[in-house]
Amino acid sequence: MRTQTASRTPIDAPQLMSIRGGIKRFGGLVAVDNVSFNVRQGEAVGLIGPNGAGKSTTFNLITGVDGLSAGEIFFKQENITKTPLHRRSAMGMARTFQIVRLFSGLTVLENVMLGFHPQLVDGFIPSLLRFRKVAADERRCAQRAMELLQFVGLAARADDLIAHLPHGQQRLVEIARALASEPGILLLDEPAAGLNDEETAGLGRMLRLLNDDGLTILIVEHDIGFIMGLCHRIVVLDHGAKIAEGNAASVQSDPKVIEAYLGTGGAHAKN
Amino acid sequence: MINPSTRSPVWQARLPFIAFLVVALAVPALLTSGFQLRLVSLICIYAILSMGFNLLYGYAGQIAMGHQGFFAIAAYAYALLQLKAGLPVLAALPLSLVICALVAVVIGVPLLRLRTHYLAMATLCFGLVISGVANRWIDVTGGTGGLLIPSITIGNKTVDRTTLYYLIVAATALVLALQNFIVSSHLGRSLQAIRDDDRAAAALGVNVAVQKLRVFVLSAVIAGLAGIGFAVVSRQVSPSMGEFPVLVSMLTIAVVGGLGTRYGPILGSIVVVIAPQFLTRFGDMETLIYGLCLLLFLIFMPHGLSGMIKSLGRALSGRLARRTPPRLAPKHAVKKGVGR
Repeated sequence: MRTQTASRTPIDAPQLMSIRGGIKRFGGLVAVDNVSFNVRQGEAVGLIGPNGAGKSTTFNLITGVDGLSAGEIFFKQENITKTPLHRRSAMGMARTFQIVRLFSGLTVLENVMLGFHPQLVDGFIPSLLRFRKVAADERRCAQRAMELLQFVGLAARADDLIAHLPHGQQRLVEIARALASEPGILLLDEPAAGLNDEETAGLGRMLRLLNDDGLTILIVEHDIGFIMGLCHRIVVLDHGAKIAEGNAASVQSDPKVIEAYLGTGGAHAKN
Repeated sequence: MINPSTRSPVWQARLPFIAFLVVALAVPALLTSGFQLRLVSLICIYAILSMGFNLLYGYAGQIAMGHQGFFAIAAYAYALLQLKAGLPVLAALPLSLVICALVAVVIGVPLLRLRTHYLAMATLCFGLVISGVANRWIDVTGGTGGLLIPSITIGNKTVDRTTLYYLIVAATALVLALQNFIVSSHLGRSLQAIRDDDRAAAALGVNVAVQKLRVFVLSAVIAGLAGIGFAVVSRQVSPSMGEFPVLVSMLTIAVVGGLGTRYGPILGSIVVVIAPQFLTRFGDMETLIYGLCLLLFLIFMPHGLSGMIKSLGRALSGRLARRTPPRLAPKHAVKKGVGR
């Protein structure tokens, strides 16, 4: 809560994604307790909360990694509560992972090219029959992937293996890969985790640029400072429940949020 | 800066492919004895078998140990469709591959939910069942004696040994081309993504379960094709086709040639078929020496022959790079070499 930035003007656009009454139980533990919020078209929404607040679980429910115990999720006016992981991505949900998950046996360029997968010919036999289209798609994807790498500043490393890149650059590859599918919404799980201050600031600028360009973003963060200048709206979770929602200024001054973060004992571990 | 869009993926594969074709087609002119021609046929057959396995294990990371089962199933189907159902060769061949594919779907759907050594064990059991059936269902399979394969006649002309050899080379080239097509397109990329991190692959829209089943069925059909080739060349089918030595050969080829490389299966097959011929002079010590060589191979060349050629190429182009100022070119030259 160090950074006091002016809140961004709220966006008035139709809903793109929403979770309604989302509940997730793991055995007896209620990790997400009746959480509802929505993300509008073109909006950047932050999902924050102290450790163990249920941010990542909520994120997993939205991306389809975990199924809901109760509640519903909508994306582009469709109920996607039961839609499997790979279908959600084809519908236009792209994500990055809290711990970078890239394909270690592939080059940087190939990793980004995987982001195009849902747009390409599916299946061995159809691909064989349409081999011309496959070859043309391959060239187009390589070109587009190269542009994305240029955007994140990694074009020079296109042919390197992922393992040879430092963590901060791997994060950028992951974002480039997510952008490849031209997603309707970009979901980021603690993108600044493990980055140094300079990298974090660069990432913040890049996300702002993407959002200004019309990309809808939902970002899970532990560090409030990082998303204050970026997000139009912030949803705060604590103990699995939503305790506040609003623009940066209102959330920062909300006594419930301050208590959740600082606790009555005042012990806030990180940052 | 080099624009990758101008780098045709086909080129990466074309040169070794042409080299393979030239050598394979020249072989009958160079080798005189039927035995030597048979050895080269065997290399091709093992290369086919291993290319399927390479797609499944080397690229998609799914370890299956039951492909000797498919190797045998297709061969038995091919024999039985001709002997018992009286079908002509041109019908028996595709039909036995279809049977292979159907069996692969039936066992692939439940088994591919398993991973790593669980998948290996489950598929190994499948292989054991097949060899058990081949041995004991004597009325149909002929038991340990197996079945004789009728020679191929098209019209009223019988295909001779050299023609048969060319047919096998053609099949190998076809499978190699198919493998290269898959590997150089988004299909191969999605398989490698599944191998490296299936959850992340799914998040990118890869239908992991379906893709795994597809490559499993494809590799089973390729193994079946190899099995038919083996049966035709040896003019018989026997239960030994579905037993461990075939699996061991396949695994050895994968390791020696280099997993997840385009030409590993061919390089590995050459070694696995030829090496024992040179080792026969050691008599009883043959197996021991063979095993020792493999062990040394594993220790000093973990990426197989393909990996060795690749690093040789890299060392060579590294030397060139020191002489010529622009450094980007050699890096690409390495990528275009043998291997991925």
